[in-house]
Amino acid sequence: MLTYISIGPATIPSYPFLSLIAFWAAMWLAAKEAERRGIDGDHLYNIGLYMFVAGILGGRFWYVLTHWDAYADAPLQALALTANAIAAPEAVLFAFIAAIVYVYRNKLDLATIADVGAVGAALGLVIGGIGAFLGSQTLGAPTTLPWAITQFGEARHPAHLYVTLAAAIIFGVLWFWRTKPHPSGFLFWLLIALYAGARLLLDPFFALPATIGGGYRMVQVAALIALIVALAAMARIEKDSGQKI
Amino acid sequence: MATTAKQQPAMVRWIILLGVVIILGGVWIILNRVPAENSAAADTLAPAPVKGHPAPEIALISTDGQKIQLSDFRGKPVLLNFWATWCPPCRAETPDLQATHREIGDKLVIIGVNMTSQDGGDVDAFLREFGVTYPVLLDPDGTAARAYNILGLPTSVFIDRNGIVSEVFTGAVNKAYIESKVPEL
Repeated sequence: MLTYISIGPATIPSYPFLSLIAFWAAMWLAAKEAERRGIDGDHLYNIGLYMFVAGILGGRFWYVLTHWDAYADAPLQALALTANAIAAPEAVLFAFIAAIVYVYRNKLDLATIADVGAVGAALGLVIGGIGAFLGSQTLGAPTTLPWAITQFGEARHPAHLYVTLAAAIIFGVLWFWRTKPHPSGFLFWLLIALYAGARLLLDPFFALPATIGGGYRMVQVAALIALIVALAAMARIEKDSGQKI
Repeated sequence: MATTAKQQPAMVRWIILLGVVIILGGVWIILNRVPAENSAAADTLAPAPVKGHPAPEIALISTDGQKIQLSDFRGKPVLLNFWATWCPPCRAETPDLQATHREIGDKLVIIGVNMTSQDGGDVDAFLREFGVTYPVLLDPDGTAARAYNILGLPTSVFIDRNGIVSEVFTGAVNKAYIESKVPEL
């Protein structure tokens, strides 16, 4: 779509650029929400930075470890700025571990920080979704619907736009709930549940899915598991807090 | 006890919701199952420089005057590397490309594509400077660059043995990263 954005003399790839904007926007909004709740907003910027660094380093560490045959002869190349040499799922795991360590070391309430972060993350998902759409990260399934977009000679579903619209609605829901009485941790699990539900519903609009176990879409299976975990967590939160959701 | 009694209907509500989600979600996943023959047959898709699509065909003349087509290498993993003499990251990665070609050239075909339409430099001198021995194609009218939607240099396109695009990477690659990609091609 718009793989590169030109700003003056500079030409910047749209997906990484908007991903960075999304990350910054998520931190900024989370910090504002934290301050609204009487928590020092700097903690949220610190957590974001810890997550970013831990994600990059952890993801690279895992990639190099699992491809050691290639790196054994030239271990210093593990330090190269090759953005794709990062194991993404492990990067996310390392990022969350870093956030949890920060929260405990600073004696913050994990559930409250998770709620505050969820409001920011929902905004980040909207901006990141626009970046994925502009950068044509993955293609939509072919369609003849009138709102199809043409990518590489084929009319396709604007699948990333569907996910972005869903993210915008989810952001609206969280924005509404954040000022309503709710038990700690509820907003975080609400974000997980709603986003997982959206990916479960919308994944068929993407072309070329990664599959497991005889053709089941990996994203859908992961989303269903995440949705079940989130609903179970919300039930537990309601039971433990005695506050009706 | 009173609290527990109050909570029971709430838990029943959650259990019903979970049951509905599991059933409807499971059915939706089954309905959208991708038959194995379709997921393997990416050949039915239009060629595009996007992961999972067949790599767009190119047929160009190499620096030593040979006509080379990408499809000639079907059955072997290919790294298509777009570059220009004026591009500093291209200079930085060329020794690694050559070292990779020298060491695992039997496992991975490296093909350079010079962006000749945008390159006023001396291509032969560049190749001599780095001792490049892998084939380098000239793209004088930008046909290959357009087919691969090249907007930044260098760009490396990893193509698997079935001719399917595995990854498009813009920026300098190094030998370790290239070698780490080979098993999945």
